This record gives sequence, structure tokens and C-alpha cells, in this order.
Amino acid sequence: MTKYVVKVFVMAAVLLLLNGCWDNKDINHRVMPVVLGISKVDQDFKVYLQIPNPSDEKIKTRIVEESGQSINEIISKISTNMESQVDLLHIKVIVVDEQIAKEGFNKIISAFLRSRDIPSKALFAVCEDDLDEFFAQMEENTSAEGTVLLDYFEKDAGWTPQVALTRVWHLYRSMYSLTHDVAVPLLKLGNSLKVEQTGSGVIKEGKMVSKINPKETLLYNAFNGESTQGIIEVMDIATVKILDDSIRHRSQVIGGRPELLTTVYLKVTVLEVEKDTSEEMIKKKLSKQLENRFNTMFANIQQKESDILAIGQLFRDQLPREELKQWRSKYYPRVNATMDFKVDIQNSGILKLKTN
Amino acid sequence: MDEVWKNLWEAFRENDDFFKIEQLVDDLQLIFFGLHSLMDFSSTIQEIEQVVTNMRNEQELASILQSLGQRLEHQEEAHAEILKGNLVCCTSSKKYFISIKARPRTLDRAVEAPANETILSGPRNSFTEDLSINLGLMRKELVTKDLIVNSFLIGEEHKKEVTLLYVKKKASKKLVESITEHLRNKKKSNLETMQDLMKLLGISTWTLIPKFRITELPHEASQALTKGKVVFIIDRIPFALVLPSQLSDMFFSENDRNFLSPMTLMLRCLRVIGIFVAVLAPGLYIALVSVNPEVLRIELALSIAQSREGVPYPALLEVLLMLLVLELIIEASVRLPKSIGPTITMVGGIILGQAAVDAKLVSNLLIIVLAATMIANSTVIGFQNSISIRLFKYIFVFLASIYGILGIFAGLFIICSYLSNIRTFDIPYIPLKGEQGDVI
Repeated sequence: MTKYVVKVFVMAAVLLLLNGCWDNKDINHRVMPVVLGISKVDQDFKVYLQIPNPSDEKIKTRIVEESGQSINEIISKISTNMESQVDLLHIKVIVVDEQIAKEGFNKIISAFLRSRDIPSKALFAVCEDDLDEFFAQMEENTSAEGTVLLDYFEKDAGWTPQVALTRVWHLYRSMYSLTHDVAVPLLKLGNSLKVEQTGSGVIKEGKMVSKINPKETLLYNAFNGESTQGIIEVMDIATVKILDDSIRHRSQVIGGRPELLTTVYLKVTVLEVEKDTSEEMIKKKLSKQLENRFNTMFANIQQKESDILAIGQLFRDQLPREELKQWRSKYYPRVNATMDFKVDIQNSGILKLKTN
Repeated sequence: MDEVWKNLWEAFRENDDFFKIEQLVDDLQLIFFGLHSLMDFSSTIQEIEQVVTNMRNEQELASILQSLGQRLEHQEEAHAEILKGNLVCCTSSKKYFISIKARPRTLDRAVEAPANETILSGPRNSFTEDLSINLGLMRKELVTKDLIVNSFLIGEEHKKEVTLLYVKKKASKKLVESITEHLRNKKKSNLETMQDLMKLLGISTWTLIPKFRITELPHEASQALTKGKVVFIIDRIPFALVLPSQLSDMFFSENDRNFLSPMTLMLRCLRVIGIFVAVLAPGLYIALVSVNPEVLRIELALSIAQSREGVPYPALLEVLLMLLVLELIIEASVRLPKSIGPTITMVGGIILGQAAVDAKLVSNLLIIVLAATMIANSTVIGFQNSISIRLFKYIFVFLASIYGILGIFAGLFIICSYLSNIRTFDIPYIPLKGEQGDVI
């Protein structure tokens, strides 16, 4: 019995003495930045933190800036100077300026993943404007939670399928993957709206090599399995809304040349229609329009050797690893991709109205 | 002749409610002994006189009296009979006593509706203090000849009657035998409380989970009997003690089955959820507020941070402080007379809670969390279980303050391993398929 008591006592003592729980800080003693901005001024980095600051009644947005040689150094500088501990685990969006994106952000991404302070599920975006101006605009914004930028990417808030959703770990994966690149959303200060989405930047091995527009980003999302629901396609004869999509690939290597046949099944509903338009015409026109768009985009990214559609993934089982290492340079530019859009009009009532 | 009853007189003479009445029945002198406080003497004697009149022969009279009660050879037997409330009589010539079943004074309350276990539908009788009434209730509830009632007299100075009930063929023989053995071996120890009974049966009282299920309802007790459990009914205790208790007793009540099946399922799910809320909510609050705020959505994190703005204590102290106040309120409302009880609830719940928030001692969210905890705590069946749950939540509070979410999972692991380790008479507390213990 005494042995048992001693055992329990020792265990309790160890639990109390060795746990380190005195390092825990309560939530009101932490500042939780939501957006992290990084820009390059000459050789130094400049870091912006957008911090929602709960005060008595409202939540106010506050921007903190600091510059230095490396991101981690800057964060620790900020932490020292702030009245509370900076807790980067709540960062939802990371914005870098175009210069960094073009020079490559491999080092930054690796540092993020290594330090483990920044969640790997944070979204990544490139800002085409000067970050000083961009964050100044953010500070003015007094939304309820101070999370405007975040809401653009929230699926249950303001996200639309024309915006790429790229997280830090996606970028990290693309740095090391032989066959998979990503696109990152491009932001710009808007005129009437706070932020304007201008499409996506095409990333190759951590560098931005090209840009695609929002309509092309839609195809990128469709390829990556994100839903494209709710997107409106305008043609000269009709306007349709995409309700659902599914995608099927057939890949084979013929004589050292990758052949890809992709079938996209689209379910659409007709919103507006010109006179004397038949179902067939809409289907044909829509397929053609999307096909053209795909071909333009594909030629663009093929030329830049950036496989953002992850086509290489489909050939992984058909090429030996040694060959896969040359996927981007040798095989990818030669991919013959054929798109086949199968359109299904789900609500064709408007076409049957004679008065149209 | 005198000596026979002189000793009896000496044993009780200091008591003012003890009486010795001599009566002449047709030249035969009879002496009656008894306690006024336990019997109604005048109506008892009337009954006896009706039988005894016209008896000439002393021999005949003695046998008639014996037919009314029983013959006692020893002095000690006579003492016990008097204490039971029976009339003891002796004749001038014989050397023995005769005890006669007397008409008892009504010292017990009637069978009433249960006070602690409210039931919506189902039989409303509840046990009372009187053993024979309780046994009668059980017999009415379970009409079968397989219901076996074994009585034991336990105790050194004052004897207490304990009854063991089980259903033949349902209850395991080994269980009944080992219980009977324990009760026989320790006839000398006193039996007043639950803990005494546990000691009698060789069960450790240092356990966090009640080994007995306590119920006021004959219906619940009888259903437990049909499932192979055994039931103790102790004289002067208005509960039945069902042995062994099992995890399902916390969630499942037999009365649930008086509702339709989907409702039964819903009620039981609610209780399971209730237990999880009661056990986990305060710990989760601490984990999310002080150790792992990154788990929260940013909007929630900000509003929590806002509500904690200006609170001087760390989350652990804050929670412990409010929990202490709440436990005190519960304890106070048990203690207080029924007429003052609601006042304390109001003062405690509304005024104290709101004032604490206004004074920025605790955050609003904590009040919500603790209110939810206390409400959820009451969904558990059985007050004993609810106290256990109340205790368990502190394990989570401390572990969460140290390890956060990880600590909560560690706590769940500890509780699960503790519960699965509990055995009563070799019957597991969490019976799994394939291992039903000894009970069929």
C-alpha cells in the first residue's frame, strides 16, 4: 500500500515539476496575426503583420512592420517589441510581393515549414501592388473581425472557383515534386472593392514564371478537383451557369510522347439565351469556348515548363523514375493534350419557350 | 418462578416505555412485557382476550398462546422479541416465555412517489424504510417463484436485517454463494451505511465509481434482477442496492423503454452527450484558451480573447474558482430546507455569475461553459454516478491546463483504462461481448 502511495506521489510530482505548463500563455496575452506580408527592399526583407486587435467594443486592425535579414529574425524582433507574445499559428494568408515571387521563395517556404510556427495550411498569395500600400488599405478597413483578406479565400465565405487555393504545403510539395506544380492567386488593390483578384501566378520550382487569368484559373481548379459550381460562362448566344463538373483522364505514352485525353463532364443551366438558339448550339459553343481557353493556357504553361495541372501525375505509372526526373524538360513540352467537354444542360426550359 | 421474569424486568426497567402488566385470566396469572413505543398494547390485549376467554385449563391456555406466537426458551430471545415490538408473556407456573405478534404502531411512512429519481412514465412506487414493505413491493413487481429472498441479521450490539434478492437461474451461482459467504462470516460487524456493506462484502471503499447502483424504484430493481444482478434491501434504508453496477447504468434506465424506440434512442444519446459535455467542457475551455488556441477559428479566437480581456487569472485558476463556487452551490442546495433552496440557486446562478463577469474576474464564455457543464451533469442517471462525473472533470481540468488537447485525450485514456479495470465480484464494469464475467 505504501509503495503504491509513493508511486502515485512521485508520478504527481513529476507531472507537476516537469510539464513546463508555465510557458502557456492565455489567449488574451497573445497577439494573433492573421495575414503575413513579406516584401523585399534592396537586400532586406520587410515583414508586415496584420493583427486583429480586440479592444473593448470592437475589433480593430493593426499593422506591424519590421525589416531585417531573415523572416524568423524579424518575427523575433516584433515579438520582443510587442506587449504580448506573437502567436503565428493563426496566420491564414501569406502575401508576398511580385519581386520575391519572381526571384523565388524556396528559402522562405522551407523556413516556414522548419520553424513550425506558421501553419502549413496557410494560404499563399502574390500581391502585384506595393505591399506598403496594400497593408495601408487593409488597416483602413474596419470589418467586424478584421479578416477581410481571409474571407476572400474562405470556402464558406467569399471564395469563388476562379481563385486558386494554394497553401504553404502545396508550395513546399511542388518544390520537390517531379511532376506537380501549383498556381498561386494574384492580388491587386481594387478600385471600388478592397482587393481585386487578377488571376494566378504560375509557379515553377518556387519561382513565378507566368500568369494566367481568372477564367483559366477556373480550369486549373477543375483539374485539381475543386468545385467549379456557380461560375457563369458568357457566350454570344447564351449565358450559362456551371452546376457541377467531373473530370476523367486517359493517359498513355506513345513512342516517347505523352498523349492525354481528358473528358470534362459539365452540368450547366441556361440563364439567358438569344433567339432561335438550340440546345445543341449552346453545347457546341460552350465546348468550343472552353477548349480554346484550355489550349491557350496549356500552350502558355507548356512553354514555361510548369505543370500546374499536374498532368505528370497521370504518367507516373508509365515512365520510370529516371525518366520522370526529366518530366518537366523532356516530356512535358511534348504532351499532346486533347480536351473533350461533354455538356449536359440540366434546365432547358428557357429554350422551349416560343416567345424567345 | 420469579427469577424467570425478574431478569427481563432488570434488563429493561430503566426504560420508561417498558411495561409489565399482570393480568388475571380466570384465576390464571399472566404477565405481559413489551415496549409502548413499538406496539399498540390495548388493542393487542383485546385480541388476546377474545381468544383466551373460557379457557379453564392452564395447559390449554399455554398452547393457545403459543399458537398466537412462538415459544422462547432463552432470555436473549425474549430481549430481541421485545425490541422487535412484540408482546412477551409468561405465566406464573411455566419456565418459558411466549412471544405474541403484537399490533404495531405505525412508525413508517406510506409508499410514496420517488423523491430523487423522477420518472415520466412508468410505475411510480418507491421504496420506504420498512423492509417488509420493500420486499412486498419487489414481490409485486416480480411475480415469479424463482425470486429468492435470503435474510441475514448483521450486527453485534444492534442487529440489522439485510435481505439478499436474486432470481434463480438468472443470477450466477458463484456470485450468490460468495456474497452469502461474506455475509455469514461477518455477522458481528455493524451495518449502518453503504460503506459498511461494502466492507462486509470485501469491496474497497476507495473507488471513484459506485460499485452498487442505488435505486428508489422497485421497477428498476426488479429489472436488474431479471438481468442476473442481485439486490440488497436493508431495513431502514429506503433504497435497493443493485450489485454489480455497470457502465450502462449511467445512460440507460429501464423507464426509457416506456417510450417509443426512437425516443429511447434519442434520450440515451442525449445522456451520453451530456456526460461527455460534463466531463470535457471545462477542460476543453482551458485547453483552447491557454494551450492550444490555434485550434479555434480565428473569429472565435478573437471573440474569446475579447471576452477574456482584463481577466487577471490564468485560465486554470479562473475555472477552478468558478467550479468551486458552483460545487458549493450544489452542496448548499442539498443541505438547505426545500423552502430556501431556490433562493440559493438564484443568488448563486444569476447574481454571482453575472457579477463575476462584470467584475472581470472571469470571462463570459466560462460562465456559459460551466452552466452547460452543470446542466449536462444532471443528465446522468443516479446521483451517485453524477458525483463521480463531477469528480472526473477535475482530472481533465488539470491535464488540459498542462498538455492542452493532448491532455484531454490522455485524460480520456486514463478514465477508460480505469473504468475497464474495475471489477466487482469478478464482473467487469464494462462488459464486452465475449467477456460477460460470471453473470449470464
